[in-house]
Amino acid sequence: MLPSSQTWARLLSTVFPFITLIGTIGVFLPAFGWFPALGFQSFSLEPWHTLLSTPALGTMVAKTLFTGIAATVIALLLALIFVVTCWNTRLWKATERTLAPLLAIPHSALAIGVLFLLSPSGFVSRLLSGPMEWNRPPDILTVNDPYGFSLILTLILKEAPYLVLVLIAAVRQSPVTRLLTVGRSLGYTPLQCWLKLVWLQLYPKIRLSIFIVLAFSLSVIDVSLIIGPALPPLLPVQILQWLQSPNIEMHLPAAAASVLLLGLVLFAAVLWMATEFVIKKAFKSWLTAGYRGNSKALMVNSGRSLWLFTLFTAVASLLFVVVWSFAWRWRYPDILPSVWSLKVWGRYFPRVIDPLFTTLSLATASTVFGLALSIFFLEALPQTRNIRKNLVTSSFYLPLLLPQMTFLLGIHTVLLTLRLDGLWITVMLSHLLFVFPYCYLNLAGFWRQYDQRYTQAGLLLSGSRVKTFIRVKLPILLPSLLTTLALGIAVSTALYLPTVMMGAGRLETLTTEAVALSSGGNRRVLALYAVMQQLLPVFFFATALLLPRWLFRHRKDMLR
Amino acid sequence: MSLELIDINLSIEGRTLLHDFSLTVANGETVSIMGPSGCGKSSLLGYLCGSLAPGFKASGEIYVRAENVTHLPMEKRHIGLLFQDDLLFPHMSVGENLAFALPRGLSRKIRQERISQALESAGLPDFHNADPASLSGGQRSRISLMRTLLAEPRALLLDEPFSRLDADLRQRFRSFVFETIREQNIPALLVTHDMQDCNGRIITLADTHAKTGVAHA
Amino acid sequence: MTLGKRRTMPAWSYLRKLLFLPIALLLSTLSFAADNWNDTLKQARGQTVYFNAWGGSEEVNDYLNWAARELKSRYGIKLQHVKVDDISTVVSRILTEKSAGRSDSGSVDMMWINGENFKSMKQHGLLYGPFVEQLPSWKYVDTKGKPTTLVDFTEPVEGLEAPWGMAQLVFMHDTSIVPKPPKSMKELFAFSQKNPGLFTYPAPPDFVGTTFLKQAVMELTEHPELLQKPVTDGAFDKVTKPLWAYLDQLHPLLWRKGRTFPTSSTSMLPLLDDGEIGFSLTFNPNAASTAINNGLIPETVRTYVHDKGTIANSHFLAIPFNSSSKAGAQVAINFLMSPEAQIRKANPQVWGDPTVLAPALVSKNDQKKFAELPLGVATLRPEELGTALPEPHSSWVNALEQAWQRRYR
Repeated sequence: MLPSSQTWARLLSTVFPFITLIGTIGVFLPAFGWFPALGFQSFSLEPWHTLLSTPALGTMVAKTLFTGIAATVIALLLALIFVVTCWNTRLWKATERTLAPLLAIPHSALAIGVLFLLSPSGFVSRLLSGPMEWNRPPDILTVNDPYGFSLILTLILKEAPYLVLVLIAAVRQSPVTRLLTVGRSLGYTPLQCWLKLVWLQLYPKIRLSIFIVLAFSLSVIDVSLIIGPALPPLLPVQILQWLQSPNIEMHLPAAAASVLLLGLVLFAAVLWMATEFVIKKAFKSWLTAGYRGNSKALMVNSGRSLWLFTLFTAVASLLFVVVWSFAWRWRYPDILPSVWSLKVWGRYFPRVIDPLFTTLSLATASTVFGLALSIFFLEALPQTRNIRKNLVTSSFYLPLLLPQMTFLLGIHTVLLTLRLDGLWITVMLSHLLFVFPYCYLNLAGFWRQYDQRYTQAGLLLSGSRVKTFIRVKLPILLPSLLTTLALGIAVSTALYLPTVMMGAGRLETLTTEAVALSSGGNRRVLALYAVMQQLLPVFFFATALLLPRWLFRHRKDMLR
Repeated sequence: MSLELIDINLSIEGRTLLHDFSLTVANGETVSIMGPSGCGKSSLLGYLCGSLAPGFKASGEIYVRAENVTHLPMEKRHIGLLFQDDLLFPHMSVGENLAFALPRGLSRKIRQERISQALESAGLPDFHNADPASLSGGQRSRISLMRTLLAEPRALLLDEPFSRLDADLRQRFRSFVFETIREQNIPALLVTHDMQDCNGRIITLADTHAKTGVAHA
Repeated sequence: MTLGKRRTMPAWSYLRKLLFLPIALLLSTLSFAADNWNDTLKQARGQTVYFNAWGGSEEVNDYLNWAARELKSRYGIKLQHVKVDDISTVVSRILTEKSAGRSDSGSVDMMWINGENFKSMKQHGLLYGPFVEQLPSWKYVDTKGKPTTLVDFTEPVEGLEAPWGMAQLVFMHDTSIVPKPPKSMKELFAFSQKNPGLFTYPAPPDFVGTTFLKQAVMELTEHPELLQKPVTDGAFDKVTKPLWAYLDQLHPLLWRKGRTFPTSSTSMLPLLDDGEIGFSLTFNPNAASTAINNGLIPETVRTYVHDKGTIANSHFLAIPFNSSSKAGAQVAINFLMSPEAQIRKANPQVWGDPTVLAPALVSKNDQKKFAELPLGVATLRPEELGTALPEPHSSWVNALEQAWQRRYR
């Protein structure tokens, strides 16, 4: 790399965090009544008065906090139960294989699946209808329930696998076998070894991801629209409704509510850290009190079953989406459709093509940019061993740690003034804001694992940095680049809020269409969109997996 | 009569590593096992402590203080382990590492005493709150041994515990280990490459490709 | 494909637009003669019209796809249906654009609108026009028989939006669950006492949900005349007192005991299909037949109205002031208002949205086609639809919605 490239990289690396911060700070102006582009030119507390007089604001705030924190805590517990009970089992390996495609599927598609599974007329209820002698769906609030339990469940189904994925990576970097051997030789049961030795060393490695999950769960919109409480909605959904109200003055309380949402996320993060501190104190003596534990096969087995059940529920709900897309008549309490048909695909598929191409173009463009930037930064920025201690790289994760609604609204305010909303390029760049950190997070791991001696050998042989980089390093890292590409495409495909806000409703992606249709009356067409949402990322993950196998079919060491 | 191995057979993928291997280690005695890599000495330790990797076929009885531990899980065997890596837990202080090994149910006072004694024995009396990362290699090894001993093992297995230390430290730590074993009066089995590490009886395992592993006393 | 979605504006087309703008201004002030219409057709060729319309119904979407194909082949116009959940979001966007000084190249060229959204746009000067009465298809519109084509929720249309379809609140009931439907709010309450959990309505501010509130208040109040005037605090309390008393009693007897409500009238169809509820309500008298045709609800579903009539209105098409494809939008609107498009729209096998045209005013051939339109199995004949009640003054909408949310959310 040229000497100046480092300067460039430093400069460029501040762009995303800067934009995010501008957005976050920018939202404070309209929140206090200043939005010249809309003709509001004086500061006032009026938006806050409007916000505070909103019916059921307290309930909304409390429920938003409850669902977000509950989903994070339970997802983390599930992930903990998974690593503790499933390590070194076949289930672990099965999980490793199913996780990437499962995670690639957009939240909204999963939410639609859970809706089909759990609603009073859903599959579970159909199964029960025989023994319970139900002719009509029971009058029970299972989805869109006022406490948000169905929302929590959906978030868990998505976030627990994410945390498990992060944990599996952390486990690979930790001397788990040896820790278990030492602990057991000191008389501790494997379960106690996991809790007292392994988990405590894994936790710091996944902490960043936990905060990402927390911020996401507190500010999620699309899932909440599909399966969350409706009366009143959660705070993020209410903000979106205000932004979309014909009453332009509602922009201001929406901005105020975004500031409130930011406060909620920060509050939850502080609460989380305080809890960490308290638990650490409380368990300090427990850690060294010498309790060896009893091996309880029941506990281990129920832990495994719980995880199996989680995976099964997620996969099952996705399958029902597929079934629905082939159903013509499927009345309650039929367990399977009474009339199967390709009519839905035949009739509605042509309409999917446009959103499909928009999705694809946004996803590939933002991912290619994200990948290129990540590679540039990884090559040009000085690498420190500890990512978390590096201020620049840790600031890349800001868009994932702050509530989307808050900083996107701030950015939107600026874009609106510059008349840059509604353009394909704007939406693509807003996707990049989220795609890039995931690309970087993913690639950085592979980059660190790369054996520098290959590059040194290449340099000695070719004498050219560029040549070595292109001919040696990139091909060796090709499988990693491809999985990162698939990840980036999955992230972009799943994005709802940036597409809706920055696209001014003009750009329709599979996800925005699916969310819009989820309030409509045709479950089969909804299923069709959700199936497409699933297929797209799965296709890219399969390609990322299979393409290197074919390319390197005569290079055994590349396929390890 | 404290650690007794009877007719141990070990094989992997049809290749016999040990055939009818029997051995008795008395209290306070250290028996050294030597042999080229792959001869099965580490697998033997694995079989004894219950952490044999899958793929091995093994049989034979293990008695610790006349109790048959062959079919007990690792944590119930009361066999202590010392590795070439000290494996001090990085998330605990030195004192906590030691406390971790103490049996349950001791009073706070006794726990403190035992830990202080152990630190004393390791020659590190003021290191209770120290971060393990701040210790030197030799210091870490001594703490590691102390931790193993605080769990009150009925037998000790040492897997090349000296190989990571430099020559000077090695000599001092070696004498420290053997003295401690004698003091504690427990049987110990040491696996090593280095003849100098040995103290007392030495058993050399034959090359693994030989049909039988024969013990030479 | 996607690049095509962005508005690319090469220099030549920009120049043409610059020329077109003053002409359009001139034309909108003068009357539109046939020559002018030909000019409009010429300018419209090659334009892309972003049509923002509710996209929650497959039938509507299919119909608009057909219209887009016809417009493309006949007039060279690309009609791009931008599906929206709620058209009010679009109103706010255009308002935003106006405040931001974006008086051309707005993001919307044409929209499906009525009621408070229309009023809001009219008040804020967000509408292009008047243009409607110069459109060739205007002469077919049944302004006499359908006064709601001229007055939208008590707000005079004044040529700023073109009538597109007719709507009247109708109820659906599944005859296998509810053989004899209740035909007034009072009967509905009595019915729900005996059969709890079968009825529900979309949560206001959903359009149909708010209409249910209006229907209820009209039936229950002793001062219906106040509803035609702008709302005042005193009038509101006086008029709505019986409504809240009624709903307080009714809600525990509804689906999910009134703890949650469907988000829209279309989202009630799956519930009806599964027999979770026995009713649905809609603004399209043909909706039940269409949904049966599409396999969405049981064949046993029928339509009914309340004895004293139900609320009716028209829905319209409008052009925002800052559209950059005004000619294209006018041609599209003229086409959608034409007998051919209206006949197709009224067909329950397509969409089943009642026409705004007077069959007497169209050609003999088209009259025949109107007469031959199949009447859906669950569609009421015009005389069975009963009295069409006028909408209350639009200021009541917000007041009702706010009060409902304060009470029940």
